Amino acid sequence: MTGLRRDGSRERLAALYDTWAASLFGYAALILVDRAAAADAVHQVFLKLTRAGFTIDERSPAMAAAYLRRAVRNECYSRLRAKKRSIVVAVDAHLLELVEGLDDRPAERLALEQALGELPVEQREVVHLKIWEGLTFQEIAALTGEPADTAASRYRYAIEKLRNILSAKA
Amino acid sequence: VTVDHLEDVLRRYRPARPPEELRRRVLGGGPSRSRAWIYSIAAAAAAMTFYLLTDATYRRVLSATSPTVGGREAAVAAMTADLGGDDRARLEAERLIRTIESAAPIDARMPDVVAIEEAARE
Repeated sequence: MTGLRRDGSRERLAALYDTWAASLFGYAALILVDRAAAADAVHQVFLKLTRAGFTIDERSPAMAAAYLRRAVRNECYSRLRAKKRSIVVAVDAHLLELVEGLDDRPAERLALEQALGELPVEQREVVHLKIWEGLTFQEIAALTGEPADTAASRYRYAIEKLRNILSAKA
Repeated sequence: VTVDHLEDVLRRYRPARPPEELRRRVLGGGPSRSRAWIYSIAAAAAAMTFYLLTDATYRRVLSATSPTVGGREAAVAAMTADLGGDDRARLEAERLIRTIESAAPIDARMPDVVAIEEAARE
C-alpha cells in the first residue's frame, strides 16, 4: 500500500507531476541547496516510478505524498553522501520565492537563503517540512524515521540558529 | 527577531518552483542531465558498430556478386566488339558492365517483377 498504482499513461504521469513536482522540488532544493541538483533528484524519482509503470492512486493521496517524499529524500541524501557534504557554504540563489501579493524584499530573501544554507541539512529539512509543507512533528518523524521529539528539537534548534544568524546580519 | 516573527517571515516565502525544463524531461522520459553523456556515447558506439557491420557486409556481397578480374575483362572485350570495337565502344561497354555490377542479382529483385518478366518471356 504505497498510494501508487501501476498505470503508465502519459496523462496520469502529467497529473502526478503537476500535483507533486513543486512540493518535491522545493523539498529537494532545501536539502541539496542546489536547484540543478534538486531537478536531477526529482527527475530521477519520476524516472524510477515511470520505468516501473507506477502513478498516483487518487484514493490515497496522503500515502502517495509520503511515498514520494521518502523517495526524494532518499535520492537527495544519496547525492549528499556521494558528495560528502551536508552543510553548504555557497548557497545557490533563488531557493525561495515570495508568496504572491506580498512586497518583494530581495535583501530579506537572500539573507534567509544564506541563513538556511548555514544550517545542518537535517535542521534545514525539518524547517522545510514544518513551515512550507505544514507537517506535524509526528508526520516528520514518520518520514525521517526518527522520534517526533527529535524532529521537534531539530526544529527548535534550527529556528534559534536562524534567528541568531539573521540578528547578527541585521 | 522573535521566534514567532521569524516563522512569519519564513511564511512570506515558499520554496522555488521547479524549472519548466524539468516537466519536459519527466514527461518526455529524457535522460537525466548528469547521465546524458552516457546516452551520447552509446549512440556513437551503436552508429560505429552499424557502420562497421554494414561496411563488412557490403564488401562481402560485392566480392560475391562481382565477376573475377579476368572474367570482367573478357565481358568488357566481348561487349566492346559487339558495340563496334573502337575506343568509344569500349567506354560504353565499361559503363554497361558497371551498371550490371551495381544492379541486384535477378533472384534478389522484387518477386512481382521477376514473375512479370518470366510471363513476358513465355
